[in-house]
Amino acid sequence: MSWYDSALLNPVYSKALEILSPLITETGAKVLLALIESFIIIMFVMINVLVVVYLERKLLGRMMNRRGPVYAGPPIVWGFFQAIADFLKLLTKEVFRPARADPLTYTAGPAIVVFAGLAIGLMVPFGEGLVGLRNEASLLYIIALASLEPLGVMLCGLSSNNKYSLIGGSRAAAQMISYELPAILVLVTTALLAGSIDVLGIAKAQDIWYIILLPLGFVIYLITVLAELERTPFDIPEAESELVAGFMTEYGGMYYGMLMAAHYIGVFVTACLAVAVFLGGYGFYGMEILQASIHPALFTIVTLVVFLIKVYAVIFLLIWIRAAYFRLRIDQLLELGWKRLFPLAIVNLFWAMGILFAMG
Amino acid sequence: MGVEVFGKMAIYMVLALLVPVASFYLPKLFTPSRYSYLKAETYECGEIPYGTARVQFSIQYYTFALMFVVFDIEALFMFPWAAVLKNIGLLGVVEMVVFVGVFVIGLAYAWTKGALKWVMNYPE
Repeated sequence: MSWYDSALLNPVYSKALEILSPLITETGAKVLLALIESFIIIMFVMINVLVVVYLERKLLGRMMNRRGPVYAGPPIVWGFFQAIADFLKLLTKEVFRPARADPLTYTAGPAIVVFAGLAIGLMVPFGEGLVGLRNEASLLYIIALASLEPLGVMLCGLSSNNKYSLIGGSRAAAQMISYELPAILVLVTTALLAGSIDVLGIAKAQDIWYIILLPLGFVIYLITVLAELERTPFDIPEAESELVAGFMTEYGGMYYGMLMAAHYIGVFVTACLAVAVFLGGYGFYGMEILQASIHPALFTIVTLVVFLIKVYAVIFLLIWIRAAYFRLRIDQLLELGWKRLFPLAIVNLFWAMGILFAMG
Repeated sequence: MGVEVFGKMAIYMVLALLVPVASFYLPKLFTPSRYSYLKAETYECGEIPYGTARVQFSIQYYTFALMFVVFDIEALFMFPWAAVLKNIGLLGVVEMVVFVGVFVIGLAYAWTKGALKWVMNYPE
């Protein structure tokens, strides 16, 4: 299963395969098309990242009674081009490495963080048929890659040879491992109700959205998302008033750009996962009727739009929380993770088992 | 089937890794690079850097890390169970209650021993 199986891209795919096969053999054509598809998915994620960056600045601005970005681009886009302009500016900055940093791990850190975020995009169902690769165990794949991220952050902190980075990196690792466990336990409950560990399977199994069946689970998941992404109120690894910029202190230019991109890729991807497992994926009321009555390609676009609306609703919530709350202390944070969320996640597990048997 | 799935995964992952790596080398094509001693120095809020960060650093959360390793593996065992519970019914529930029971006893033991504190040996 791939994006090419969707009604939107399938005609293009068969046409391209027809044209390319005589030129570079069928295998070659398939590899080339798979490469193009991978590129499309990555570009899709990256464009959404630009939107998330813009939304965060604009909405935070409005919530703080400021205007946020306004000048870049024509007035109709409300300063959206600011995100693009910032990206281009970072691209023209010198790529620079401090003399005392370890060259290999200094580069590997941000690369791993970005890679982990982007690679998740392969198995997220963005719409009807718009899933890069369908697998029976895609939830496990996503969790595995999500837990690769602390490794990259830790490497950033260790390799910079800066005391702020070292402390920031180790705090990040502590926080990520503390909150991964409740997150996994909550995701298990959604798999439990759906009887499948395939994200698409879970999304499709939701006749009733799991946020209604597992309200506690959704709250726990939202908190763990905030902690794993190091967002306020859990932004201790980069607490700017005490640690400069945490593990990012020694990074500049495109290195910094990639670390920021990785953060917003994380925001986008985890919001996607939250929508897929708790908010019914791309499904909506009356989907079957609509599917029967309009063209399949148009239906694919409709599902994609519905999915993105839900994703941006979740992202709006994350930004809202950032504007509203203050920062916790590291020991408070770990206590919250281990002594509150973890037992609550186990309660949620039993709750889910109860629901499963109540429904038969 | 296997070749197609893993081949595609490999293609995607190589491309995903290429994005950050390329972006580190792309600016080198059109940006000037001037070396200066101060620029390459470690940032310590404008002070002259003192010593190195490669020091014996007390990782206070190593007990958390140890517990994470144990509990993470336990949590991972739940996925196959979650996928098939609808078919195995009540037996699966009983087994998971026992399994989670061990889980909870382990957590309670660590809690009472004071392993869930950021600073150990710190007077309350």
